[in-house]
Amino acid sequence: MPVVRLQSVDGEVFPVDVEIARMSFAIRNMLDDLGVQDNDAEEVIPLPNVTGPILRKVIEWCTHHKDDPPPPEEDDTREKRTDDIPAWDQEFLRVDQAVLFDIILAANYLDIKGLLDVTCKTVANMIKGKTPEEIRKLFNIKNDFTPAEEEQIRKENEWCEEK
Amino acid sequence: MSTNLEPAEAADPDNPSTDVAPLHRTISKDFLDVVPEDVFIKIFSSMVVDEMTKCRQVCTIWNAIVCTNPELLQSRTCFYFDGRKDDNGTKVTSYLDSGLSGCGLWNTIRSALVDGHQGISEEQTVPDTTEYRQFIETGRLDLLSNLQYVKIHRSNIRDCTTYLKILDLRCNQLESLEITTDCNFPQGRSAKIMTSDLLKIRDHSEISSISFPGKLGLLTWKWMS
Repeated sequence: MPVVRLQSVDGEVFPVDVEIARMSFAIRNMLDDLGVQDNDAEEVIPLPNVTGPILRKVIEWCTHHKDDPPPPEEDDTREKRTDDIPAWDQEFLRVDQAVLFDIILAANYLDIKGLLDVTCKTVANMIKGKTPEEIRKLFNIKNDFTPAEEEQIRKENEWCEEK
Repeated sequence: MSTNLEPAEAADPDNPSTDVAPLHRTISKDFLDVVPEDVFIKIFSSMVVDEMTKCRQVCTIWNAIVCTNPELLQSRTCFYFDGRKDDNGTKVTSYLDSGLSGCGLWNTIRSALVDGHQGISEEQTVPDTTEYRQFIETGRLDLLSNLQYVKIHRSNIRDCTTYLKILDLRCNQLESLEITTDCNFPQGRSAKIMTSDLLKIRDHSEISSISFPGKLGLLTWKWMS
């Protein structure tokens, strides 16, 4: 199997099957732009936005999902669910919040739709059922509303209903 | 398998690695600045409206994302005129005057019963109502001009007519209108509304269909585009 070498921002190099690396549309485009064929084994692809430990996690996820069918196209009319995260992914994403957000950022940067979907659903599930104050505490977010703004938004939400 | 997770050992494909000890750290205080807006949109888009409205209340950045992105509140919710919480339009008018977003968050308006009337006789005249005059006098109707979908639920024809007049005046972008009424809403009156008030709206907008469920069944008018 041809291999491409991915280099993280901190200099770690990970030899990865080209087939797996191409699950990232960003890497796929880089390989295509560079004219790298599947039998060019020694090409090094620098990934300046991803650290070694996070890149290792991303490669682990891609390796596990390499035989998955391509994710479906976005359909705004379809109800979006968050209770369909596979058990393996749930276990894989049992990490610190900071790590989870780093994986999200890496998935976004590398354009790996399946990984981005599952990580965003995980964050949505963390938020569900919590009050605004509990959400702030969970993510260490400062409440930067004035009391008047806060009250106005609360009132405005009273006029808001699901279609 | 040739994939090599150097310098760590190769992963077991059946058991995901949870050994992230080197990665343990608290979330950065400035992660709101680091995470792109697109990612937050993706997170919020999998939520129901109730959850989105809670996220609005977390911080100004989340409020801006939830309110301004058309894939979120604007497409998933409606502005709900609920007469049962209201005092015949005064509160609605006050809200439109002072709310942070006006009707900017929604492209759908839905209204519920404003007063306790349960139908009227066919002979009853249709006066301008208090609510209607309040809307006219405040000039807040401009906020409704971008509505595309409207659902109206009324128990009496007076309220129906009131809102139809509002739509006639301001809803140039209207594409679809659905009116539901209580079962005692006279069918003959439905037909009269269809042939008078609603056709006026048709003259001023791009509306392509109107549904009018009545006690004898669902009347639907559709126009070819």
